[in-house]
Amino acid sequence: MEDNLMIIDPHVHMSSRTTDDYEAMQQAGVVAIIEPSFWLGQPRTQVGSFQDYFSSLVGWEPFRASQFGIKHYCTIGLNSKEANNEALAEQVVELLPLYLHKENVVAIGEIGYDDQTPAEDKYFRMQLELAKELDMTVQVHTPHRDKKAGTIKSMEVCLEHGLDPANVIIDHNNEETVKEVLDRGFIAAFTIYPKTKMGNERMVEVVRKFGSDNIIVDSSADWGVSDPLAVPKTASLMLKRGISREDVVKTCYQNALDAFSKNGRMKEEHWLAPKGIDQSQLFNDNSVLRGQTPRIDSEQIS
Amino acid sequence: MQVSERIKDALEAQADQGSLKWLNEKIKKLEEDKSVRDLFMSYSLLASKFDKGSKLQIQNSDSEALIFLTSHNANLLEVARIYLLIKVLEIDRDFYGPKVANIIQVADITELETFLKFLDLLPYPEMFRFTAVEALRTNISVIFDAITLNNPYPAKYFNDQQWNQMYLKAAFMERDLSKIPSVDERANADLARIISDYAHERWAASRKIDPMFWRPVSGFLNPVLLRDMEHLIDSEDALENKAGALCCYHSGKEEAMQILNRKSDLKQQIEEGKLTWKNLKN
Repeated sequence: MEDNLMIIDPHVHMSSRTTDDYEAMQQAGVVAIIEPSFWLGQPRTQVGSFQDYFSSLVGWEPFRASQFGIKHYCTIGLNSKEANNEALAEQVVELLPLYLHKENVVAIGEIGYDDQTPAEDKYFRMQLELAKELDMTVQVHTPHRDKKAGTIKSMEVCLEHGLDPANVIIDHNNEETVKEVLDRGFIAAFTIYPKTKMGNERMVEVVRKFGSDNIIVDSSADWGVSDPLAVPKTASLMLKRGISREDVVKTCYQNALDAFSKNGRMKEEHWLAPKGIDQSQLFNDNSVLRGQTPRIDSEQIS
Repeated sequence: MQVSERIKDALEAQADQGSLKWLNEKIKKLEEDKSVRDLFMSYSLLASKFDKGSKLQIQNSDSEALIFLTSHNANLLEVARIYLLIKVLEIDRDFYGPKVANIIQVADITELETFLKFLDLLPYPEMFRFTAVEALRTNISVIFDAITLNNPYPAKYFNDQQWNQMYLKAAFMERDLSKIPSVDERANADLARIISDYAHERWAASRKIDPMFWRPVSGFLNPVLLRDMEHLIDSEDALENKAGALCCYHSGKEEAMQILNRKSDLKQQIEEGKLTWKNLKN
């Protein structure tokens, strides 16, 4: 990797990924990630399934990431697809206040529209109100179908609810939506998908055309065909194609940090100056691995 | 004076006055209205009102609760969380007990660590035994340590099976066994057998065992364990010699004393109080 670029992937569903991915990401310079709450590929039928999922995002998964020297944050919210089961959605929304103040929660997300149904609209707005009440950043998922209209509607609804556009990240942009998003003062995130949609060649051109202000690159890697190294690979390609180092740092690190650190939970010191062993916290296993590759015990079968 | 009042006084000396005022108002409301939503919101908001970077500092307190908190380096957020939970349980155990259980069920790593470390300070601590035992199943070491090390709760409330599960897993996870309180008091025959079996497995795989692990077997030296004692006494590892010597000596058994006689220097050190489980590794 080009002389130690630090990378943040602000949208990656690590619960679906293996430890090989964590290892590769750490080696590629990823220092911190944000895991948005999303659906799991099939709808959940019980509120308890959401509870356990949210709990894993604030419990097991940050621990697992720490074992590979990566700092894990998450966003909590009811995703648009599952908002359509209203009886369940009602219970999930009740649960949210218990999670929004957990120490690795940096925003409400990913919320927004999928099919742009009335139920999706209702729970999107409910969660925007919660964000307003708690003064939290919002991470918005934009629809795959009827994308442009859905993106514009998402922004209009955010404004209607009195949110500051600088505190809202609109995700999954493409060349068709980016201008509108930036013009309105929102932050535009781009998901780099292998093969489909937004590839990293196209991303280079977006940065060339629109610059690096308020633009964020992410992988959205999940249980589907996706690449958890999409951000470091894009950073590398941008440098190769002559984008300035400063612009690469902004789009693949700094802008994500600025956007998601507003509630004070995400801090550069977490990876720049990791705490040493603190016996008083009865905590010592993690620090051994922080910032390094995991220990391989030669006695053990891998 | 109730535990909660002592903790409140200590918190008042150090915490932000605006946050304290807010907390007092919330608690008053929780007393009058019995609202689940208010409890959840109040508990959640503690994180943004009390500083986890500042440690509780108390000088010369006679309160066991405060001494326990400071000796465990509790920070102000931890103290505020424990205070709120104690307080609502004092207000109405039947109503707030299950709600506190809900809060703990969705705890993140730091919250769960706080809850487990200071569980013994809560009123009706036995109510949360399930959570404490569940914490033994974790692979997250900070959670496991919170319930296992320097914590009086397991010795007071775990049954033998739970205690043994904890002790064996602590050894398996290579935790510092000297930090488990009441090891002698909670020793039992079943645990002695488990220790012996586990040692045989490790030896068969040519792997080491923490010599501290042997401490609970003293009172239960049967023929199998006596052979283990010989193994320890004859070992080339000086720490194993010492562990074997301590087990034999404290067993008070004739056969064990004969094994111990092979290391008369160690026997003498024990008799003179120079070798104990506390200084085994020094």
